[in-house]
Formats: sequence, C-alpha cells, structure tokens
Amino acid sequence: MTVFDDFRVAIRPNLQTRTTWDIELVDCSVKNLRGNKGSVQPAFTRDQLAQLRSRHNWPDSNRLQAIGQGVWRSLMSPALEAAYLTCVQQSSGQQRGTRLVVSMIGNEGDPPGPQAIRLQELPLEALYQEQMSFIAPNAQTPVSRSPAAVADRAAHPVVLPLTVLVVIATPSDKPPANMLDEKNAIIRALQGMANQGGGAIELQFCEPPTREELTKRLGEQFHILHFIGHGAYDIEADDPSPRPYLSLERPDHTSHNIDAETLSLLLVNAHVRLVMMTACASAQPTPEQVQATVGPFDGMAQRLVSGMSDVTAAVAMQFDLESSAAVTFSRSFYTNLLRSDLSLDEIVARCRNDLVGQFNVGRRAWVAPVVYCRCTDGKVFAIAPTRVVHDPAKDRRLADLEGSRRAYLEQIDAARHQPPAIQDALASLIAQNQAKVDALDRQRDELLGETLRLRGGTLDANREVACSLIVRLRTPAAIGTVSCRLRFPADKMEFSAAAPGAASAASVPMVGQRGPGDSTVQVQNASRGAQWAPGELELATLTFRVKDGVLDPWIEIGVLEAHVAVDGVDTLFEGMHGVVFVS
Amino acid sequence: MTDANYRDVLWAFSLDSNADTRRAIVRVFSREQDIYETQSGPFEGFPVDLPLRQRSGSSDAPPRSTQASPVPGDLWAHGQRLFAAMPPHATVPLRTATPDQPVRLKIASNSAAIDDLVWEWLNDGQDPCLALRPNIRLSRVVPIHLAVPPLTVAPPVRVLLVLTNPKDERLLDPWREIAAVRSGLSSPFYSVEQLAEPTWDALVEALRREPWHIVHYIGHAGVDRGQGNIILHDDSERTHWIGGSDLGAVLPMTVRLLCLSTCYTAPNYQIAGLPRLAHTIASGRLPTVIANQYPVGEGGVRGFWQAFYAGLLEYRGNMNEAFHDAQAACASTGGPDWGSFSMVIRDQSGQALRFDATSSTVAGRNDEEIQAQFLTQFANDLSTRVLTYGAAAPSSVVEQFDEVASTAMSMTENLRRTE
Repeated sequence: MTVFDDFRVAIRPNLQTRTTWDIELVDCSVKNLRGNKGSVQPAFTRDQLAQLRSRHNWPDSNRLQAIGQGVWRSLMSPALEAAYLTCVQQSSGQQRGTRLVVSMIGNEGDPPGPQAIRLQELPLEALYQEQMSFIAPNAQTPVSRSPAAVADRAAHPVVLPLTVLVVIATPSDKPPANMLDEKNAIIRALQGMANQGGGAIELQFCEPPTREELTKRLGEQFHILHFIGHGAYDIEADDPSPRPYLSLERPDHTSHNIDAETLSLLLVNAHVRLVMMTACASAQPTPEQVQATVGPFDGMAQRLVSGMSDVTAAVAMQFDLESSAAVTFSRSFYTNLLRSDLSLDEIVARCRNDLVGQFNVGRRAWVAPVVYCRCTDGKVFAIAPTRVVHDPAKDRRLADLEGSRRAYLEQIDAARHQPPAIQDALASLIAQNQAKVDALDRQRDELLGETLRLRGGTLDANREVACSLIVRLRTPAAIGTVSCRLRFPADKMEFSAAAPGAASAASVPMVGQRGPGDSTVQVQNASRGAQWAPGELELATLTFRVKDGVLDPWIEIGVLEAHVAVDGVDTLFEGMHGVVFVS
Repeated sequence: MTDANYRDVLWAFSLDSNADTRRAIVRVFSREQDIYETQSGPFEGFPVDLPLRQRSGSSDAPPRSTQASPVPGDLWAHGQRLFAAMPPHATVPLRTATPDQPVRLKIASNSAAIDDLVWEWLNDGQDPCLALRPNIRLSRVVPIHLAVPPLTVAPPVRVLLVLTNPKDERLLDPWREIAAVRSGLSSPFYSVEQLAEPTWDALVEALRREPWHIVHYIGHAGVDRGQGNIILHDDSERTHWIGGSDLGAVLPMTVRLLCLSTCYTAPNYQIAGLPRLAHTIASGRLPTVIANQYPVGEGGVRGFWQAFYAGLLEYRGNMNEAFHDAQAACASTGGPDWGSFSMVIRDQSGQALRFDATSSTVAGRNDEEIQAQFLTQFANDLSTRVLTYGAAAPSSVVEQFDEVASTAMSMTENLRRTE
C-alpha cells in the first residue's frame, strides 16, 4: 500500500493579459514551497488538441511525447516545476507517492487566438517530463483534477456489494452504436465480480434509457452511476462556459437531453457517490463530431462533482475510447475499485498502466480518462468486505427512508453557520429534526430486522456522547460473540470509554484500534447462554469525545462488518451507522 | 403598499428541450405556487420567439457588454422585441393595471439564456418602459412554493458592506466605490459596517457574529461552469471565487436582501456573474437580490442606491416599491443606467423586511419568524425535489413535504394574524 503526499495546484487565467495562466501551489509535502508560482504562457496548441482528439494516426510515441511536453510547459512554471520535482524526489525517498491534483479555476471566455486553448481544455493527463516520462500512468504519481482547492469530502462507508446503475443510451438521431456490444463489453469486463456467488459488484441496467426510467431508478440506492452514450454542449446566452448535457432516449428512441444541472438535482436524492461517463465505444463519430461528442463528459463531470448532490467523484473520458480499450479500462477499474487501500486517482493510474501494457504507450487511450475528485486522500468509498442481501421492495423503502433522513440532516446542516441568536431561535426545531432522524433510523432498523446499530445522541457539556450499541433480533436466540468495526473521522472525534450495556451487563466490551478513526468492538458471550426475546438489546455503551473547535452539526459513526454469533452460528448482520449531534 | 394591493402576473419561461431548435415556452400564472401545484390544465404553454444569444451571437441578441454601457436605443429596441414576442393574453393584465393596484410582473425562467435577456427594458413602444410606469412593478423571481414570511426589524437596519479589490484583478478606486453606495446609507436608521478584510473566512466569521439584515457587495464577478460568482480575496489578496450556493449556505437567515453592485471605477471582470448569482437555484438559499447586469456610471450608482435605501425606509421594507422608486430616480438623470439594476425576488413577495419602531415587540416576534422561515425553506426544498421527480417522487418525500408545509403554513398564518 502506497502512502501519498498531496501536491495540489490551482491554475487560473490571468485576467490582465488573457494569454497567460497564474499558478499557485496550494499544498505539498514541503510546506515552505507553497504559494504563488508565477505565470505560464500556454505552450499546448489547438492543433495538438485536435491531434489528440482525432482517432487517426495512432500509435505515435513521438507525437504523444510532444503533446505531453506541451502540456507540461503549459502547467509548470519554472518555480512549480522545481517544487514538483523536489517533492516527488523527497516523497519517493521515503517510499511515498506524490498525488498531483489540479484545480482549474475561473473561465477565460473565448481563447485569445486561433491556436490558443481554453484552460479547461488542457489535457493534464498527458503530462510528460523527460526524466520522469509520462506522469499519469505511473501509480506513484497519479494525476487528477478537483473543483475545490482542498479536499472537502470523506470516503463513504460501503458494505459490499457495490451497486452500479449502468445507462446505455444510443438515440436514433445520433451516430449509431451497437448497444448490445456495449452492454456485453461491460458484463465481460466484470465477469467473476458481478452478481456471482454473492459477488462484490451488483450491476443493474437502466432499461429503457429514458429520463423517466432514470429518474425512477435513481430513487433506488446506487453507489455508482455509469453512463455510456452521447453528450454535447448547449450554449446559453453569452456565458463563455457552455452547459453540457447527456443524451438519453425518448420512447421513440430519439434523443432526450438531460443537462448537468438537472442531473445534479436528481442526484441530490440518489446517494450516488461516483459517476462514470464514457462515450459509446462502438459509435463512429466523424472527426467533426468528435469535439461535440466527447468533450461534454468532462464538463458534466465538473458540474456533478461541484453540485449539491452526494457525488464526490467522477471519471469521464476527454475523448472517445476504442472498444477494446474500454473493456480493459472497465475491468481494471472495477477490479481495483474493490481494493480498500487504493485511492481513485491511483486506481485510474493503474488503469492507464494496464492500457499502456496492453496496447502501447504511443496509443492515446490511456490519456482519455479524467478523474475529478474532492475526497480526502482520493478515496471515494471505504469498503467493508461483507454482503447483505435485500429484496427490491425493501431496498426502495429503505432508500425512501434514507432520503427523508438526509433531508432532516441537511436542515440541521443549514443552521450551522447561523449567528448564535438565530441558532437559539431554531433550537427547538433542530431538536425536532434530530428526533426525526432517530425515529427514521429506528424505522430502518425495524425494516431490516436483524441489525447491529449504534444509536448516537447529543453531546454533553464535556463534549462527550454515550452511544448505545444495540442488536436487534427477529427471532428468539442465544447470542454469543458480537463484533464490528467502527469508522469515524479521527480529526473530529475520538473514542474515550466503553461500558457493558443494559442487556449484557456481565460482558465487558473490548475495543481495539486498527488505525486513526478505525476501531474494532467485541462483546463476548453476550447473552451468557440465555435466549433473548426478539427486539432491541443494548450490548454496550461506547463513549466518544468530539474535539474542541469542531463545528460540524453532526458526525456519523459507521458500523461495518457486523458479525453476531446467533445460536452458535456466525451471522452477518446489517450495520447501522450512528449519528452524533454536536449542537 | 401591502402584498394584497398587488395583482401578480408571472411569466414562467422554459427552454423547450423537445425542439430541435432553441425555442422558449411561456406559461402565465397569477401565483408562484401554481407552478408547483398545477402541472397541466389551464396554464397552457405558448411558444415564444425570444432573441436568445447563440454561440456566434445572433443579430437581435441582448445588447450586453462587460466593458461599456450598452446604447439606450439598442436596449429600447430589445425591450420592444421582447414585448412583441409575448402572446396577447400575457400582456392584457398590464393594460388594466392602476397605480392604486399595480401589477407586479414577475419573470421566471429555467434557463440562463432567458435570464440574461434585459427584461427591465420591456416596452410596448410607448415611453416609458413598463418597469418605470406607476402602475407596474417589474422584477425577476426564482419561484418557490411557499412564501417566506417577512422579518420584523426595529431600526437600525444592519448592513454589512463588502468591498473587494484583489490585486490580480483590475484595481478599483475603493474610496469612490464605497462612497457612492454609502451615500444612500447615511440615515441613522441604518447601522453600516464594512468588512475589514474581504476574505471568505472573514466574511463567514462576520456573518456568524451578528444577524445582519442586508449584505451589500461591491466588486468584480465571474462565471464558472455557468454559475455566478463574487470574487473575494484569498490570503495573498488574490482572487477567491465564491458561488451562490456557497454564499447562501453562510448567510444568516436574517439577511433578507443581497445587493450585488458592479464596480464602476474599473471594468468588471465578468459582470454576468452578478445576475447569474442572483438566479442561483432556489435550494441555494439566497434572499432577494439586486444585481447589476451591465456597466453603470458613478451617477447611476449614487442615484439608484440613494433612492433605494431611502425608499426602503419609507415603504417600511417593501422592496418592490423601493426598487421601483430607485429605478425611476436613476432614469430621471438620463442614460441607460437604471435598467442595469435587476431585482430577483426569492421570497415570493419582495416584502422580506417589515420595519417596526417598537423594539420590545420585535424581539419576542423574531424567534417565531425565524422558525417559520426555517420551516418554509425546508418545505420549499422538499417541494423542489417533488417537482424534479414528477410522478416518480418517492411517497416518503411527498409525505414529508405535506407535514413540513402544513406546520410552516400554520406558523406563517399565526404571524400574519398578529401583524
């Protein structure tokens, strides 16, 4: 497992000159290197961009190197180059990787000349430096983009399977594509991982690929939305940044567009964390169509990750990917995604490397994927290797309850920045919302039947909260050892004490630490051989202390890998996360 | 003038995504909530041919410039073109309006292309423009389902001024900029404070410290991925862009007006960012916003804000009236500056503040008003979700909306009875 140092760069058009870009080193492992790194005159040209986007005349290693050097000179001012090389060298000496994250800020309008490109068009992924060669396919130096200068989202705890909704849309009024081939390519790519023997990935297809069906399906809980199809830009007024959209289908198979803002709104309720967008690999866009066909995924990805939904990361293709490369990419991507120790940019770097291995470094396929991520350490999911099976009706109901619960939590969030007098005025309503969250958690608990739930609460004057670890039984049973993992943000809270719960007063809970914010809890011989009646039984109280200065209105503690010995049989229960209300 | 005195006419535009060409549809309502409650039936949509700007710029596109004021003749022709595009039934109520019962013409859309049209210059060929007539109040709206109840304020009205001047941007003359706006705030009924250090952290801290009523921003703007941004300073006094939703998340609920003034001592980086920010989606939680949509001169800035802030006191917080007076005052000096000021109502009424001299009454009432506002915004968020999902809306979200809306309406009604 490689540990990474961040090298975060913000780049913005210079408002005075219009022909140069200003560079700022926001974060890096050598603290005193941070700050303004001057300006660059973009060396990468529109001709080179056209060459990269064209599917003709590849492979050509020399040409790709020249493109990569142009990108390097367009990003790396002398000061930034020196800082990057210093940080890479230092990190590598400590067996650490260097994660390059670039935030492109602002919008410069029309390019100043025919050969000039817009900042957003710079294909960062092609970066090439003579000593280091291509940067992005090296798993030690992954390259990604971020809408925010600093990472501001935590990894989402996930109990396997990872659920993926795949939308393949090939409207009849767009360039033709063989939909069946696309679908089979994905299924082939995931063979052995999806829907097989309690597989780790659950793949579902949105069929028909209409807006209505997509809207309906997004009401179910999916972790990943994978769109395969066409996109384009729609220009609105004098906004120099066109609005991207994806083309879904109408019942008569003509295209029905969904713009980024609408999709972003739909995703507010959907809990999707990662969006993947790939062009129809089997479609044959003409050279004229290339820009309009593939560019929008990039713009859509930025918008989705910047929006108000739970989407924290997106992987998009900045130009079309040929069919065989798409299969390699998907297989490599989903295989690596299941590894809990890999970050998203690292995963995509491995995918690029696999593409280089399968084809040739002079083939441009590995440059196509673009990663947008706003997660800490680049990790979108914190995956627990367990599996719980639900039926679709129950899943839908659970998703509904989760949607309502999220709405109450968002309202609690909304009060966070209010002045003290207003927070006082809202105290009773906030308390009501907190009670609603607790009631909805209980409803989800009842619906699931057999759960191990951490019931949170509100902080006391010492900034501590005692959380109950509760097992819910559906049938009478003797309960032996109960164990689970707890995940919480270590920078915000710490575990402070454990005590036996009301139902198992004789069993002292044992708490171990696996890492920061990652603890294990074990209660041995919980019912002492006695049969417990169905219902809720408190096994332990676990006290957490929220650190001074933390202003988050609530913090979630994840319950993962919940194992309960029921009548001597180790059984996987659903883990239910606890919510601690800070204010 | 109370809310009951107005007759509302809402033109709700949408881009027709079904058409191959870019075509707009207009539906005419008399209440904002009808947008949420009536998806079909009497509110039929009519196609309208609006002069929307395409990538290359069409010949009759809105006369907009970020560097210099547009020519009044062009704006006049543009406004006439907009009026001519409307179906006849949409304009009938405008002809029957009287000064005692003015028509409040609200313009809403789902598209930045339509928002970018200079509706303030709407005219039927007769002088003056509709917005300047005594029987019409013209504003933009971001529609919401339930009206946000007004906040009762015992003067002084607390105003936070934010002037930004990042060093990597075209530099302003800060003294002139601030003086032009402050000239309208000299009344003792306003308590004005200027943010000393216009960084995001300092702004958040200032907003958390005190329940302000008005935030007035002066400076550059930008458009990033279609969204409007104001431009604050970072720690190195360089630009730090802040979008509408981020700003909305930190504004105290007592802030009922956000003024976005373009700088006039230097060309704005991208003035379109101001109206774009004003039109941030409803869930962005911004209050009513007044924003400049094209460059203005010093005289226009002074004239407008002096009249607006004086009118706000005179009309006890009624922004429809204060805005109308300010536009008229600005127009009386000649030139196109008056039409640069665009008001986007985001609480249904434009009566977001209600001045009351008795501070003892106000203190007790404010908590209930804040609670009603909080629940109303929650209900509106849920309603937007229901509308987005349409027939596929999960029953739990619909039930949740019904419950929250019912409580919010009941609280608002109680407040109304005790006014």
